[in-house]
Amino acid sequence: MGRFHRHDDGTVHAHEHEDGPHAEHGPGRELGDLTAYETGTERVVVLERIFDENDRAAADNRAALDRAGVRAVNLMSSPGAGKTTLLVRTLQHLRDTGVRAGVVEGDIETSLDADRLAGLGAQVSLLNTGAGFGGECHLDAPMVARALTRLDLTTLDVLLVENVGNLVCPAEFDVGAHRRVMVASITEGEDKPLKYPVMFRSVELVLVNKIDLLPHLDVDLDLLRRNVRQVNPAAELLEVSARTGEGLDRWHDWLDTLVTG
Amino acid sequence: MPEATRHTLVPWCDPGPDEVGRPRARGGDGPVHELSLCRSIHDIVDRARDGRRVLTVNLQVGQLRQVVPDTLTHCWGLVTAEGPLAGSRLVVDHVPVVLDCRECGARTTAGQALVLTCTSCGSGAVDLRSGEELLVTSLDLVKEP
Repeated sequence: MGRFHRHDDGTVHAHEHEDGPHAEHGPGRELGDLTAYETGTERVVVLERIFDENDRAAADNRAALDRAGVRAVNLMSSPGAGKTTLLVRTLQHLRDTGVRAGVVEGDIETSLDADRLAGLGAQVSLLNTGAGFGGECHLDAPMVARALTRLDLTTLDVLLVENVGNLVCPAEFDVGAHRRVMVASITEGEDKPLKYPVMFRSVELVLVNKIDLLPHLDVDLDLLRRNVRQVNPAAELLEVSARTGEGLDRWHDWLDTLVTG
Repeated sequence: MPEATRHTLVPWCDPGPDEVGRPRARGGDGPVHELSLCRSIHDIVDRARDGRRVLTVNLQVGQLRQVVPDTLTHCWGLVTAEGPLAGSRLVVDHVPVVLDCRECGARTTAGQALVLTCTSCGSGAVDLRSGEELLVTSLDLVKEP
């Protein structure tokens, strides 16, 4: 950053003779384009990360959850991977073990998912991301902050944030949860970790769902495991069927450890 | 998601028609996120410009951010259409994924496939040196008299 200099008023300028093309980056850029330095224009250095504002709001959410002693999980997946089915099972488990659960439900336009969660003893705060938020394809921290105001955090132990089904955007937006978990169903193909490395790299736990369908599919589970490890060697992998309940005890253990730890 | 639900996403997440008016294919399984990025960029730029007119917004975008440049440009037009940033231009500095291998020590650049392994020895034990950037680096403004 030696080519920038900072004035007393805090403005930082880059000067033409100092701002050559970045040698270490590839071609196809226009940063070396000097047309901006014609008379009448000036370059102001900003250097602000595009997610900074969201990340600040996420930190506020996390602090609010910490003050109330609530542990939060951001649950992500592609559409149809089984998040809501998993959530139904999970809420039953939490209710049966006396853990007080809340849910932030990111549904694009409907209350269909929230309806499936009714009567399971959890406080549910629905975010219709299609209405009022401009058709978002993910939850961001300010949205979740609004959802939190509709929950009584002091009466909760754990908060499950069901993100919008999408393997791209939700990975980039920290919502203020303590843990990120994704559901990857085996019907999606073994190559998904390689195609969506940002998502797979962002999570601590991958729940490989729909293993009850293994006998009916050509899926190579070992290849899927290897592909997950390739992009995220640290991620934990649990193979489950949210439909039959197979393997869910280990997911429940994971969640119980989060809540009690 | 149901078809009726999907329809409501179109104004925000559709990358728009291509040069000959056909709907542009969506990459991957979900709606694109360039529009929400553009809204964040808009807010950053609008603060930083401090009332001055912006000609160019310079960005650094890492390869891992999965941003489609044409879609980003299209969305920038939508987001800025009516406001003080109308007519401004995004210039994207694409930063490739560069990996340092912990096994063989080679520094390599990932290809288009975005497989995060050392292209020299094939090891997955790699440290990411670049490719996650996503920032507004600078603005080119009309100089005040």
